[in-house]
Amino acid sequence: MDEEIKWIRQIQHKSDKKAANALVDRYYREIYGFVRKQTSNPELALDLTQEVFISALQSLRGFDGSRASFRTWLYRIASNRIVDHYRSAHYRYAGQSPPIAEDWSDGIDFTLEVERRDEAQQVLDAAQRLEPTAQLIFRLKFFADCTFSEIAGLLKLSESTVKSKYYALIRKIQHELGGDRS
Amino acid sequence: MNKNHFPIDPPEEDVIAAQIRQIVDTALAPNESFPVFLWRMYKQLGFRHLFRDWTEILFTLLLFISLGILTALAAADQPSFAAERAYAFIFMLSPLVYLALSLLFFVRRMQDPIHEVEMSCTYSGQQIASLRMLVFGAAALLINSGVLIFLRLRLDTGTFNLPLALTLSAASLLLFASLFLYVLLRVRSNMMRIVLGSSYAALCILLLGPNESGSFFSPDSIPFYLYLPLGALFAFFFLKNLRRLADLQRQGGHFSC
Repeated sequence: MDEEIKWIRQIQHKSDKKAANALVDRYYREIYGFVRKQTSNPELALDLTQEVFISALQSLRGFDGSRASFRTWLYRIASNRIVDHYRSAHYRYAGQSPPIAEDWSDGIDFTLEVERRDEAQQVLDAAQRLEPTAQLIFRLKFFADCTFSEIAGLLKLSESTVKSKYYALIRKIQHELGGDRS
Repeated sequence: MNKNHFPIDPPEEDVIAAQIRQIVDTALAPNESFPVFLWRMYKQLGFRHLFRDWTEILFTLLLFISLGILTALAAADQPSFAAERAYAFIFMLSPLVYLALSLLFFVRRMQDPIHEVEMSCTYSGQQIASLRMLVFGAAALLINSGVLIFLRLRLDTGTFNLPLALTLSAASLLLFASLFLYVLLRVRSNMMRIVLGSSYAALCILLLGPNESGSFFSPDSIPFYLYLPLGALFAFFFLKNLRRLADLQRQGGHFSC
């Protein structure tokens, strides 16, 4: 962690490329995974991940380590970027298929895989209709596997608020899908 | 955050390396030097756009010059006329003119949404106002110096101290320029900006008013060479704040005016 703080300071003060390389390298795979699970293809995930890191590095001067960890801050940028993507005209008019974690179903037979993909697609469709904070909670819980406490820290909400919002959104999604899924 | 319920295949390591390289190269583009930034900004905006309200500027300048001449003539006729009052006048005039010009700029911006859209595409209102301040400041320094030298040559008054007048004029302009930028960057409330601007104007009028405060600018109270380091200090603060605007540009961030 000390090393990370050192890199951040070097980037903030000297725009140090070596430090920036090290910092991006530390989180690239994790953020790529978070983005990839929510996007329809690997190329789009690469593009969005690239945008997340460019945005993070360019606004690093405004990053305050005492308020949130760099990782938390990065997840917030990534979550916002994904929400923006699905709200963008480009997504709505390009008719892209919704995000599917294609590789999560390795080893499952074809019928089951299609069913799960269909279900996942419906869940994500429903999630995209949620209000932005609820969407963030959903994405962080499902795709970053964050705990309630981590999400609370990330969104600067109390843990109980996050829990109640989460269960409310789950009920809403269940209701939208016919109330027969858990 | 790593429980990874939905495993995915990460990209190949060479793809990741290429992506990271591209991210770092794009995000940390080499910083251009500050004079280059200013010159590029000036070239992009051009004189016509930077001073697109030149008719109002000309009108304001003429108004102030006329007022200045009338005040100077009226003051010279007074038996109690003191050269110190002239120094106070020199100290206050350029900042007051700029304050008037800045107000014109911001009022026009508020009234003209098209101008705002055009400008906000590239530069923020603060950046444009600061560049105007820089150009105006440089021009005002030259004009002030010319006028003061002319006065010294024409008016053979033993009481008129030219070095003091020149350094005073430069220091006052730089003081106002640094305060102006500071308020623009740090004070977010428009009401507070108006209060601070009005306070400065009120202070100017107070110093120019019919009292003995003009003696503050007497060569006996502050010698002219002390205005040089003061001017340098104000110039340093001004350039420091101006530099911050360049950093904002690099980050792609803008403040609202």
